[in-house]
Amino acid sequence: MRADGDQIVADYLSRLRDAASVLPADRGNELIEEITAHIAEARAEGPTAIGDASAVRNILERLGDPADIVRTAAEPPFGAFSAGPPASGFPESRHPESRMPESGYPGVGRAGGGHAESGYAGTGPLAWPNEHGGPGGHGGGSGPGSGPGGGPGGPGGGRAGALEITAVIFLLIGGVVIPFVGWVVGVILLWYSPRWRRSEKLLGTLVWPGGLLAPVLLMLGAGVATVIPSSGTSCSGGYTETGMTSTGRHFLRHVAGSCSTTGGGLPTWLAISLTMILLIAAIAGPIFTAIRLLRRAGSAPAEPAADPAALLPV
Amino acid sequence: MIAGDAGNLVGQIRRGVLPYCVLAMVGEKERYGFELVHALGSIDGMVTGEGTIYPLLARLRRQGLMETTWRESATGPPRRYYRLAPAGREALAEFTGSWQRLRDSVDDLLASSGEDPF
Repeated sequence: MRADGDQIVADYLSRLRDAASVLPADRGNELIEEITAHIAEARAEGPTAIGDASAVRNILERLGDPADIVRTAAEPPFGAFSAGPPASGFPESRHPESRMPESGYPGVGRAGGGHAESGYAGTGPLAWPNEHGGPGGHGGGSGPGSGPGGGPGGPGGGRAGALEITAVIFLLIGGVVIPFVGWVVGVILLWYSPRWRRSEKLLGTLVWPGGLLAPVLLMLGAGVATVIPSSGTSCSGGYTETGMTSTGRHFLRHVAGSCSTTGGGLPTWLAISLTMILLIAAIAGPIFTAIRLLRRAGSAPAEPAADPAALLPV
Repeated sequence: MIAGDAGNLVGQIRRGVLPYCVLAMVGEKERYGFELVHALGSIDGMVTGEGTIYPLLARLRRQGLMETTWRESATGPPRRYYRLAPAGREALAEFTGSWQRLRDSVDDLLASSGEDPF
């Protein structure tokens, strides 16, 4: 039964992803993330006795059609669907400039300025200021980092916060710059941030301890090994013998040198291959982890530190 | 105005007041997204689809009317908690006054509609 429910959810999220492709990537990702979390929360607290599939259908029915959700996200708040006149007989907004479409997402909206039937958005007596923070807004919040207009993917979008980026940098190369200690700082920041699940924090800690310190050491080691032959290879140099024969003649004899490999028993090609595999794993592990952590932190968007705030005109 | 238009009008009013209802809900105590959406969805006739509230939450956040904090959850992914920002509090207070005046006036008019005004 659970598998049925999972499949229904996967289909729903797939439709949501398709529909959300018209939104700026960060907003689309954020929406998908929120809806995914909502479904997980609803499933976790819902009754299981009635069968997971029907419970899931009920949850999704309450959520509404993905297309409607995305349409709501793409529409200008309380504004016209186009630059045309409002569809209803409500008085004009006190902020006529805010009736401009907020960012002109393609493929969304309803032609002809019809009534919105979904969600909360629709025509109404209140027209909100352009949420991308045009100069018309009043109230606090505008500050560094919030460029005028914002544009798609503007402030508050899917970016990891400074803490998360710092944590990942320290995890990756902190241990190289300040041997080991730097990595420990990264781990502390990783566990301090609330943006990651426990499993992701574990991954960040365990793959691999020290970050890129291990491959750096490995490469240094490999460099040294090429200069000083190791692994039990011993060579005896050639030498020249001189002496006198029984007949009293001097002789000169050259004894050739020889090398023999002892110990280890690993052929050179195998040793090189193993080292390469080790090196690739040592580099790829931390980089994979770093990308994954940044993606997760990015999909749980950063706080809008300095959004161009605009008050609701009342 | 035509007969049967009232339903549409009420729908528009509902959509218009929904952001303020959200602000009011986080004015009492901070709530996380699912909690907020679930509570709003449980109020009869307030929303037609719970999923459409998430874009509204994002918008209120971007407009600086709500502030958010991420907290870890023992059961799943981190939760984003919403609370009222000072600008939101100001907007809510202003709306509350306007709404109460409008509501009282309409109530009075409707109550007296069957009576002789003189």
